[in-house]
Amino acid sequence: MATAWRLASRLLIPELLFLKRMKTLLYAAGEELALEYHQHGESDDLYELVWNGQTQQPARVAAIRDGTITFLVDGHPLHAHVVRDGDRSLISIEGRTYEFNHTPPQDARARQRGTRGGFEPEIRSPMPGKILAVKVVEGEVVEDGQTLVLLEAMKMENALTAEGNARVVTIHVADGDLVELGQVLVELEPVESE
Amino acid sequence: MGIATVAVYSEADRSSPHLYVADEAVCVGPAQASESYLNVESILAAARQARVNAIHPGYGFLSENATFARAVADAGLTFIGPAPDALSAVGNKIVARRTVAQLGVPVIPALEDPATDPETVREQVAALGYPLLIKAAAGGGGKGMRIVREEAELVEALSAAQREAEAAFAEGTVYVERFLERPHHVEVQILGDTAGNIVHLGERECSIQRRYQKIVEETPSPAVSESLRREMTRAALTVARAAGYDNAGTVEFILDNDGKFYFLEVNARLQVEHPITEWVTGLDLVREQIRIAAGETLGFQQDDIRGNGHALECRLYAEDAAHGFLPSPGHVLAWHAPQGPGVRVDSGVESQTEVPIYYDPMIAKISTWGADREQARRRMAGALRQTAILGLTTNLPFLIELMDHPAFAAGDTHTGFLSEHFPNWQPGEQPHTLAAALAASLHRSPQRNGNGQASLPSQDSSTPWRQLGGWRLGS
Repeated sequence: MATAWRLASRLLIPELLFLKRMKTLLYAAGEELALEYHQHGESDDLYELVWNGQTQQPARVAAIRDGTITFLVDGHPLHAHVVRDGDRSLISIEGRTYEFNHTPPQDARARQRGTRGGFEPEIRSPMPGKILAVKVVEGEVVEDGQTLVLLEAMKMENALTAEGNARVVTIHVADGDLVELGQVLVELEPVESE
Repeated sequence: MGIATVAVYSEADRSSPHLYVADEAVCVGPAQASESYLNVESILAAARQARVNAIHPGYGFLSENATFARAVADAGLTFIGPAPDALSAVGNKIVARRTVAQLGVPVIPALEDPATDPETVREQVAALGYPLLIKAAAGGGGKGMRIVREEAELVEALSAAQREAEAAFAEGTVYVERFLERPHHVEVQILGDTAGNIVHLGERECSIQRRYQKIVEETPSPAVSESLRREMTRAALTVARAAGYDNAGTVEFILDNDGKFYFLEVNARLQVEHPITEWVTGLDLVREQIRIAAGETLGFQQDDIRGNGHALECRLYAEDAAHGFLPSPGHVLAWHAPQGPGVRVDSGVESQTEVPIYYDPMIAKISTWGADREQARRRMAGALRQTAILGLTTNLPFLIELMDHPAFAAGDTHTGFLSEHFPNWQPGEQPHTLAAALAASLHRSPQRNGNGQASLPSQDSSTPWRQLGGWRLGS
């Protein structure tokens, strides 16, 4: 193993090592995707690809440098900028971003959603920012569309509102708090209207 | 120009690339703009510490603040911008409007001096009719701005606009004007020296906006004919001369579909979109600003200025175009800027820098030049596809679709363009998923590879670690 690494670093492409034959599993949006690739017989840089069981057009790897891989697919060049962030890989090709995870998602949370016909019991921050004002108190009954929290980010003010009539169960933030994307700010329970 | 530069930064901008292109960098305080970039005392203290001769205020924060300009002068330093009196004359939009109307330049019907009590405002604006636009008296860039389509929305919109204006400009005064539907936003660049010479550098079309903030700008405007250009630039120069204006500035107009234009405001500073004017005129506006502030005369006349070709600018924002253009600050894992003939990038990010939550989400400006509009547009479409930014959500895919849109290609731009052609935009097909998957599979960092087995199912007999003999290096 050490030998392989030494060889790689001498060639100044330490992060890239190609196999003759490889199968990887990737995960995107909770789905498992299988990619098999192997180098084409007569040429070392031509990759035959099987994507979820379907044979694809082969891709030629033309150049690799600093997190950029250039493919030639049917003679057309594609530049892929790749970065690894923990378990996920982010790839940019022609201005569009692709994201894959390398291990299966723990999707228990995803399944919990939507159990009450669309009512969202957790009001989450749609972006990182600062709480400008909490407009409700615990126990309060709020109407559909009523403002719960004012959130500020990048000098823009956003009102987070209740979707449906509800009672405020728990408030997790106070005025002036800094919050992260997806952080739960307020928990609600639905109130049936007559 | 052989002038050493000192950058200022807040604690939130420690990793910002602008620090490293300056000769020196000084911290002016904590992340909150009111305690750093908007803090006159902090900025002046930094100026004294670094022993500067002049301050360029950029195009946000204190750039149009006459109090700041005076404080700079009082400290014995040069403010690179208009004289403080000219700044006061045009900086307050309400005052500017009145002055301009007296010069015979048309203005949009407005309530200049709304009462502080929202209920009274409701009665006051009844005569204007809806829709209305609320604007911050002190500001620009869409901050403190709200559109009000019906009376019921007025009160909440007023207080939100006042709060935003207060936070952004330390001045909560707002005014209300009639909102025109589907107009063009056209602005004229002016440049004057302290000896009273003043020229215009043509117009810019800035109609493609979201939240009343520009996304795409171009020059010349596809909506402005040669005769209209003469009228608009003459009006702009009239306004600038009357204000005793020097240095760089922009006179903004609203142009309706009948070719009638109305004065909007003067931006008494360098504009974000200055690169496109630089592309077609060959002038460096910041250089001209510094020369003028140093007391030099323009050195050229109106007839010397010839617009050559066409230029476009796209603003890259850290925001989610698929979710109401919500800001999307975060950590930039990778940044790759486009390059090539006729492509310019002014960027505020690098790989492994932070886009903090505290400031405007604009992170880069990509501009292109072409012999004509179509060439500039094609170059932009290509440049955007070359751009890569990973780690946070940006409007890059949105900009690409915008450049490709037939209505944009036809030059049919107006301020309602996005709501008309891109309502509830969602990213289109991801055409290169397979190539992306292959890239993700081929790319491994050495550290990751050491425990990379975890990312592969254990039943997979072809993990890298069992096949060392078969490894080959790609060429």
